[in-house]
Amino acid sequence: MSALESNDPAHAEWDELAVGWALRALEPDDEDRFSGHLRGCERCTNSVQDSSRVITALVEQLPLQSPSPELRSRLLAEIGNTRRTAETATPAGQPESRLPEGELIDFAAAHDRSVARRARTRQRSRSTWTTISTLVAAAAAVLVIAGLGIWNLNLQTDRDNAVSVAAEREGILQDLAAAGEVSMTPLHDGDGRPVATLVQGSRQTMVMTNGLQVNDSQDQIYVLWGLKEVGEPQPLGTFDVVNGELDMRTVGSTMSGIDTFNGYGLTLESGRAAPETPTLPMVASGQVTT
Amino acid sequence: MSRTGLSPADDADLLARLASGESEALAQIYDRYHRQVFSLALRILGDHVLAEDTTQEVFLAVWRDPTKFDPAKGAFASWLLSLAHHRSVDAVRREESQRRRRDRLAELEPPALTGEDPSEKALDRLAGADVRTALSGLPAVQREALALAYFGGYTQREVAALTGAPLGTVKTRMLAGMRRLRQVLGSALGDLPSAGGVQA
Repeated sequence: MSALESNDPAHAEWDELAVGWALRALEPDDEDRFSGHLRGCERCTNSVQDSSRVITALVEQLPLQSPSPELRSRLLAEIGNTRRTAETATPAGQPESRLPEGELIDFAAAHDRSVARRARTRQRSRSTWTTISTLVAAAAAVLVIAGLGIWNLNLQTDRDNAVSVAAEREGILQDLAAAGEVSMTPLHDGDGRPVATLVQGSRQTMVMTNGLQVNDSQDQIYVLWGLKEVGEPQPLGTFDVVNGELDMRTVGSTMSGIDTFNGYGLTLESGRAAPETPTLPMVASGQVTT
Repeated sequence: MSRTGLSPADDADLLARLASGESEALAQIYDRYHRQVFSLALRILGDHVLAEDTTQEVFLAVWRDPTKFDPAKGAFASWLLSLAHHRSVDAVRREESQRRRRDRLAELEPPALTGEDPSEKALDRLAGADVRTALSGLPAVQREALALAYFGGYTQREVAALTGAPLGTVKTRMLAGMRRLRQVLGSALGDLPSAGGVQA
């Protein structure tokens, strides 16, 4: 019996949302809730896949119609102006390890969903967008200075990426806005590449990652360390990296005294708790600048 | 895709050539699938120009990054249709589509007066005995909810407004309808893997 067919009253609401997800018919709030649930639910993953197979069977039976013959030539002319991603160097059929949603979702990736949801939310709430947009310029400038360089886009050649990143940026800025006034510390890997930024707000502390390796959420965890000129690094909090690209993670532990350090570092530790001292080399670190 | 008569190996070869930047491979993929993609887009958008634009977007997305298709999770054709659906729904929901959407909404509202079933409009031209049998076995309200969501591009709340049913009822109808289709089509679907991940 497929996941879609089996009844489990305790899971009924999620079953309904799984079908709505596959149909791309969820409201933004439901989409948000389900997106978070889906990552860890095998039953829902299977339900979405089952629904997708049914839908594909329906779609394949649509009567065929043809576009104008000119569309083919327009398409082929357009590809000369279309930038290809670096991933294209990977042979087809052997995709690189990508976001977890690529493994979970057959009908749409969580990233895609999140972007679409945020884009729709923006359309429906101009006031929210206006508020957030006032943060964009300042925060984006800070981030570029911090060295992440994540906002650089070729708007002419990759409109879709521009829309996606802009929407993603909006979501992150919403998180930043929720944090109140913030200070940022860029963290670089051993090659000097900016891979994360520690964002310290008055109400919460977050780590914005951009290229850190996705960890095994069962057996590994990232640990944020406070660094001083003298003494052992002090564990400040833990978090998971679930997105190999741009993402914002709240650091989940008591953060008192976090502003007393000269710098910060990250390690990827075995197990699900922070050790007293780092057991592995820092994967990224940075000094506080004022 | 069943109606192409082509094997996954054919697609794999084309995708490998596409990954190496061979534009002729995209032309061949287009020749193979453009009618399916366009037909789905047209079904959802109801506008020939918008459907062509969306079709072009879909194939450009494949060109930009063919590795977004994961062959471990299903056939390329299924993934491509999923991508086409996503792009079409996004297009129909975009601001410039709202006027047409309102017009379509107005067209769909009269059923209560005329007795027409909007889901029939969406599904009445489907071919394929298995699918027709499966759909005909669904209660009308379940068929209606699924059709309005998938082919109409409406959200569950919009479907509820269109049909006059509570939102919770619409969600339940969609789940029940999908379960029924899955049961009836089970043998036809076989053990093939599901559609691959889409990152439009």
